[in-house]
Amino acid sequence: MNTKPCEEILQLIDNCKKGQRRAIHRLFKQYYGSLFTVCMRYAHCYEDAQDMVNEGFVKIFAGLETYQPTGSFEAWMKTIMVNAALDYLRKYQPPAETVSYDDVADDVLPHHDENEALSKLSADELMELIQQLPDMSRTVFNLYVFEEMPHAEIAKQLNIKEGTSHWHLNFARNKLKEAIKNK
Amino acid sequence: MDQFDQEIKNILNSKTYSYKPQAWSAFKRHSGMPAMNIGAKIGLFGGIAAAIVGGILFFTLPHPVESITDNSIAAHEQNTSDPTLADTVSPIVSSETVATTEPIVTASPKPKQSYSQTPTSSESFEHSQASATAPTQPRPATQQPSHYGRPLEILVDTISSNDFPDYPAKPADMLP
Repeated sequence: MNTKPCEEILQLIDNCKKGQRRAIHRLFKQYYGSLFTVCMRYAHCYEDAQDMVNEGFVKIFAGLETYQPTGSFEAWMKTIMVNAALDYLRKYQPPAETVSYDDVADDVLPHHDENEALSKLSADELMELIQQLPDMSRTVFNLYVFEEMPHAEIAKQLNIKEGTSHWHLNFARNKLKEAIKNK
Repeated sequence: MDQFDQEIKNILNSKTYSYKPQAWSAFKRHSGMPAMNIGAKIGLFGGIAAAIVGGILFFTLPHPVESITDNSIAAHEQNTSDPTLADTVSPIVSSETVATTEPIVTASPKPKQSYSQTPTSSESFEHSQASATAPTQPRPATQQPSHYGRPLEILVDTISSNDFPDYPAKPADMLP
């Protein structure tokens, strides 16, 4: 995924750096869909996702000077958007509870036919189920599954213990499986 | 990451929300980006500012029509009814005369003279008739009629009778 951006994108980035309004609009329009999807996964509702994506785009346009065109532009933007989402959650969600790792093992449910049930769900339905998870569990699940972040890093990012991160991941999985079965 | 996680990832990665124009409006509001471009904004606010300044100047500075008072009209009538001015000066100060005398005055400037009506030297008056037209009492400087900033007496002094051979009436002939 370390693909260099094409000439057209580089020109667009250059114009955005110069403050050209049309270029900023074009870049926003081009990447809004994919970045809004990221925010929807982290947000509790559509309105929160809108706030997150706007905050993320402000950071993207402010940080364009620091972007090195050696890596993927979309991945760079996605990283900024995830950080913006985490900042938003830190600002508006209550402090996380601490859970010991010993408590986690008993909470893990065995795998059954949830994969089959999952395949019958639409993306919108699945998104809705993820949004219904508690904030911290949803965040840990997103960072682990979509950002492929190890628990140690998740714990550092969210200022929680590593065991707590494990617990939230399992909790999120079990909640989702339950919800999918009940669909 | 187990199979369940991977399945969820695949489903949600395929989902992309479509762009809506409202999203751009919301972003502009959120980021404080101006709604108009800078040029249009400068034009609009510049126009409004110019209109305000123009309005203030219009209402604060004295209007030419308003400055005419009864006293000023009376003073004006008194000046024009002066026989000396009416008979001797006004023919010379007609637009035709000024138009013809202007190049002469500028072409051969004479030393600045006193505004006193009595000539100080005989050279100032090429003809003695001009001295007869001059009033005996000097007028205050503020009341002296002028044309293009020059006192009329200078114009009178600089124009000799030879300059206007065809002029129908000499100033002295018009005296009562």
